[in-house]
Amino acid sequence: MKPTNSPRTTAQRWTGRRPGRRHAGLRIGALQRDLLFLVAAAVVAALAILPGRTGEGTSIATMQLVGQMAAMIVAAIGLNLVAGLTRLVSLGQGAFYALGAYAFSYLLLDVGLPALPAMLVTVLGCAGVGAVVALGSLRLRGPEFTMITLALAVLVQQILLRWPELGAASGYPNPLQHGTGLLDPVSVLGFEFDPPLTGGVVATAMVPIAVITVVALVLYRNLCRSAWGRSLRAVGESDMLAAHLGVNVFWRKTAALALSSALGAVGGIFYVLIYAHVQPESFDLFLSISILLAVLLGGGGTVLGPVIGSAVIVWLQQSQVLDGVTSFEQEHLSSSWYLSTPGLLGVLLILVLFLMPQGITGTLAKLWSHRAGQTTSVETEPGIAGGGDERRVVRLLEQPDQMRDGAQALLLTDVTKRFGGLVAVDALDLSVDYGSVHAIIGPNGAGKSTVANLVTGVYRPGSGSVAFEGTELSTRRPHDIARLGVARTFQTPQLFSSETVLENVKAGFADTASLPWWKASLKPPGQYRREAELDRDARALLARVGLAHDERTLAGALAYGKARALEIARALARQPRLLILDEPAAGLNSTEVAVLGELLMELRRDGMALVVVEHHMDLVASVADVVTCMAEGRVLARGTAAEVLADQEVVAAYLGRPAEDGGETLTDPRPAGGGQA
Amino acid sequence: MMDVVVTGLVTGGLYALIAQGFVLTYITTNTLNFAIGEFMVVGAFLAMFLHGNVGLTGLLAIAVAVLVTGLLGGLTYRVLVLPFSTEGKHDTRWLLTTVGLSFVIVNLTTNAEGANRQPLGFGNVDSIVTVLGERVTGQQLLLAVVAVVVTVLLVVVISRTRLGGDMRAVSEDAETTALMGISPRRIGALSYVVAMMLVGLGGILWAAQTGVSPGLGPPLLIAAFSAGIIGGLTSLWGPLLGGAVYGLVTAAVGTALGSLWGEVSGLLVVIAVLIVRPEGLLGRRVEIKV
Amino acid sequence: MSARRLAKVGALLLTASVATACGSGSSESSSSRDAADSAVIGVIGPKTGPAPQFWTETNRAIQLFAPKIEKQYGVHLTFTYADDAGTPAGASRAVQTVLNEDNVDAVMGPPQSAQALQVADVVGRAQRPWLLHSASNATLVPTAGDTNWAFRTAYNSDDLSDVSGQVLFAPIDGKDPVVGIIYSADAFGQAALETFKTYGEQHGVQVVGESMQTGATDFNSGISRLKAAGVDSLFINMTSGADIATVTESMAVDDFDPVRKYATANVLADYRGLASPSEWKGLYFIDPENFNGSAYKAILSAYKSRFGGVPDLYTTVFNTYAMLDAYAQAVKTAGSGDDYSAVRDALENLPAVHVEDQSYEKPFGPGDGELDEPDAADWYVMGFDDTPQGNIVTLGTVQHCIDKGC
Repeated sequence: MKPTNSPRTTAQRWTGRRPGRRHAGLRIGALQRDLLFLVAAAVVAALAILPGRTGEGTSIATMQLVGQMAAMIVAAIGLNLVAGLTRLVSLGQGAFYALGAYAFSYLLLDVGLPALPAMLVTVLGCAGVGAVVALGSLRLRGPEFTMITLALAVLVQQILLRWPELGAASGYPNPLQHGTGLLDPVSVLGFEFDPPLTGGVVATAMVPIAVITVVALVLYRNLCRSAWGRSLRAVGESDMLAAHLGVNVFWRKTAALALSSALGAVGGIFYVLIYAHVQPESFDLFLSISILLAVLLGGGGTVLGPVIGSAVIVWLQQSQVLDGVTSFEQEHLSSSWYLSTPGLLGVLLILVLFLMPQGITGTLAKLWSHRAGQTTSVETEPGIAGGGDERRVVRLLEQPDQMRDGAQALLLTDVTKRFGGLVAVDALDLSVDYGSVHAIIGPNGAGKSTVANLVTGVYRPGSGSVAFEGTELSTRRPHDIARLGVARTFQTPQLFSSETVLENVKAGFADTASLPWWKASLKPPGQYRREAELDRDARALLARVGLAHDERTLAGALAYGKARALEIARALARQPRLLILDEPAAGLNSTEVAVLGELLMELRRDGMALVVVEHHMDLVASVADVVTCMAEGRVLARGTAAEVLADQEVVAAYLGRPAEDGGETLTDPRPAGGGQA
Repeated sequence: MMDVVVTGLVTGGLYALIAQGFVLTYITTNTLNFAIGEFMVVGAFLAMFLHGNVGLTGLLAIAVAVLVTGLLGGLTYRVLVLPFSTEGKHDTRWLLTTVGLSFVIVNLTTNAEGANRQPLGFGNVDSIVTVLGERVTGQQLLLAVVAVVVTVLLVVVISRTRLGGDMRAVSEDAETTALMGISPRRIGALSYVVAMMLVGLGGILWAAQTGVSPGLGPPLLIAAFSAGIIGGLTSLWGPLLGGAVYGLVTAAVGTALGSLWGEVSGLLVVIAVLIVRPEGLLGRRVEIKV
Repeated sequence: MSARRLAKVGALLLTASVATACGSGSSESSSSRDAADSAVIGVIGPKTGPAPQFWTETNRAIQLFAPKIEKQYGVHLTFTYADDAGTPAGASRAVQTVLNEDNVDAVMGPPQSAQALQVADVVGRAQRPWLLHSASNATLVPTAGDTNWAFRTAYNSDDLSDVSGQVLFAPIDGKDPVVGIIYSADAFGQAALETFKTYGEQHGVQVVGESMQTGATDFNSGISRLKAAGVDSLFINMTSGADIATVTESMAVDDFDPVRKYATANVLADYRGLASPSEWKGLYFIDPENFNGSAYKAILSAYKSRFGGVPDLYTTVFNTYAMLDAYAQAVKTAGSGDDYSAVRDALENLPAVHVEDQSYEKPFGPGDGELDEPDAADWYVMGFDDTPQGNIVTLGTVQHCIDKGC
């Protein structure tokens, strides 16, 4: 198959060249981009604190504004890891901000630690608290997680308001307990860092604030754009999906929350550096809401969105820009029923969610990519087809020893799974060899997908054994099983719809689960090479499934057939030895089914073991070495495709339930699939 | 000892009534109105206006105010919740739009009416009643009785009527229900109307005792939210149990350690429940099928 | 003494001569910055935020009384306003704005303690007069040496505790009372508790404290604890009248009626609308001013005719008046508002501050920034009559009540 009317103009530029040749150029490009970001961030930070260089009184309010923006920025990028990427909406970031501010002040004044150790202990301590909170709350999803963090934010403020050692409502420090209302300027290695509080004194504290902000931004950006960041996005899409990519979801979420809390604490430390005094009233629920608002306004999940969002929110809150709107309302609408800044922020919040669901940066990026025509997807182009020879560009599988042809890959013995009173799988035996395709067919509700879920660890069998290469799987969790070399696709493709096709495939590589966060954020030279390799391999995989021309397309804009192809490419990225496909032909047209069949045969030739749960009998007939037909959890028939499809019981099982299956013949049980030969 | 129990249970009634506003909408739409405290404010100001400026009698003013608050709730669902909850369980944008709405209501009423508490001027049962040998205000007892009556009524309506059947169906499986010709949107809007009517009623009866002000909401938001979580957001009986537990715990710890620690202890119970049994004491646990 | 008298005479003379020149009264313009006898005051308050009444009452008091005071002393006062949004960070920014961008000669506010505490040291270091017409936290007015730039016309919380303590700790039927204090969970309340505890230790009297969250739905558990402790002399030190109503309601529920029940003048806002005569029976409150005095009556009637109604915060209006009077005199004496230390010295040496027909002789001094003194003979005990609207009844000075009982 040749692509007939693909958008060659743009796509060709990206895929026309051989991946190998792009290697060196790409590496330099990535490094240059990162350096450019560093320089740009440093320049912006320097410009922001420049007005304070003389210490003139008139610059103080500006310096406080800049400092507060910096504090909000670090807290918001932290929250973005949790609320944006991992999509755990937290209203508790203000609590960590408060803890950071109080812990830092207390360590400086009461404990008497020097500034650097105080900072370190504060950040590590808050990360620890964040991890503990994570351990308690990570079972929760959606609104429940939001609620526990909300309760936490209220609780922390309540305690700060009345803890006598921390000055309670008098603030910290306070003249009553400490003889002064202000902390001494922080000093590091003999340098004193004065806060922006006194006219005529240069606010040198702005320098560490600017430096730390830039460093935090660079590390955070590296983290977001790395395999680690992709793993958080995977968790955000679905826990189950991430686990099937080999990610230990629990620890990954814990790490994200710990990092997020640490960054929240840095925000609190900035607050102390700016104001040298903390009042518990500063850290109310409104602060937590503001930080979340900053993330969403800028664009949750985008790298730079929270930065822009923070700057805008602090500016709107602290400057009098919205007063003009208020006086307009008072003059033209009503002198008493009008909105001032807090109410206008509420309106803004609603408007942003309505008009710019992806936030400022997300929406701008979308507009930009629309203009550049990168999301174009030509619906008529067959999904799995298209690559032609490019499909064989790279042979990914280097056969390991265990994959001798004919060796047993998967063995299910006497497996039973019940849901309440329903027996979904009943005493099932099943084996799959390397270099073979085992198809599982059967009417809806027969337990086919349950088998896929039992093998991949989504469900634990009630009894019986599931063994992969002799390793027992039934007690292992999905990410463990994925790491052993088992990959799968889902009945409904689970993709990162707002990411590009290329990013989707890259999420499939083992790095997503194995790259440590510190390496991801520091990004040593080796990481540049590795990212280039990932790009190259991902392109090869895309070529293999016929998506070479779509790598810049957003996955959400793909036609159904292409989405399935993409999911297969992602599953292949980890170089699995056993691949489980859950209804891969559903929704594909006949050409696409044919190409899918070809791909499966290729994978089989490569020595892979395949389990295909499928309704599409043409596909089954053309690829399966063994077919198992299930009904009501039991094996109805097993044998070659021809044997099974001729079995009277099988025919009865299908035709006996026309309402459920909607098919009239076994060769075309699903008219919607359109797979008529 | 007995006084703690009676006080705790009676104050729990108010929390339960407001928490019912969380539960009703959560059951049918999986969303919560975070501006719930501000709907109390709206109800109370409306009642004050209808009685004081329009001249309606007390009961009529309450009835109209409750109805209008309910309709505003329905409007909120249509405009601020429904369009922001379309993308599955992960989609919590409704949380932020309702928070935004609460900012707007607080700000608007503060600018127009000032932050001070004004007397509602009617509707207060100004007497002290003895329950099991312990004294409570008539108003708090009234609120507790209303909470119980409302809960029983809701349970009866939902288990006995066709509409209730539809509501149950929507809460079980909105997609399938939609195929059966029941509109989950209509049911969602209806539950917002009923929920905010209850919240408005709670707000009015409560303001009758403590006065009307834009700040009426926040203290009760936390308490009602706690009652809802503890009891379980998927059970209509949940708020009564949750309100009772929260009321008892805060009263008991408040009496033992000082009233400020009462609230802290209530929050700790909420966190404990979320960790140990996130679906709440009476909530349903659903085994996730992929 | 003679200097002070001279200033007074001068002021009277100038009242006549400048009346026409400064007829326009206070204005937002700062064109007259360089003129003699002029000053710019930066007023900070919560224009937005949860308690805008502090902002409103301060502004109204300025509108009402500044023109008259300017005329009276022949000075020109310009006011610039900054919103602290009711947050500590907002206050910090507002202070920087008025100090550095508006370059004001004096800072007035923030009126609430949390905000004032956040900026206290910053204003102190700026070495410009700080006019506290509302924030009552005792630590806000440092009294040592160069840091004394703060002057307060509101009572300070320590003095309040001191004077109320004199009543509350007095024996009941010849025996020491058990003193209870209900305090708000803020700096104001916590400081009061500290003072009472110290006082109790000194006099061997048992003190029981219960804190209450503003806006709490009830206070039953606190009341039962106070009742169980045998409290017979109670002080309600809450900042909002509505909260005091919650307290007295819970007291009625728990049938807790101690021999002495005292509150602060905060009971004037909202309380009577939310409570009933039976609940305020025997409830007294203490303030340095007599609300039935002629000065207060004049202020309230001026306020009423201008704004149609009584203020939410009586004391803020009154104390703003007193502050403007003191500062205007000091500017007159110093010759100009921008000679900060001269203004401070003039404030310290003021012969008297006048509010309508009432005057405070030698109110301030070196190391003393407080207008009110904790002298029981100067403070008043008031209560409400048993009419539904609860008219204010003056029972006498605190000293009178200690000596003769009220």
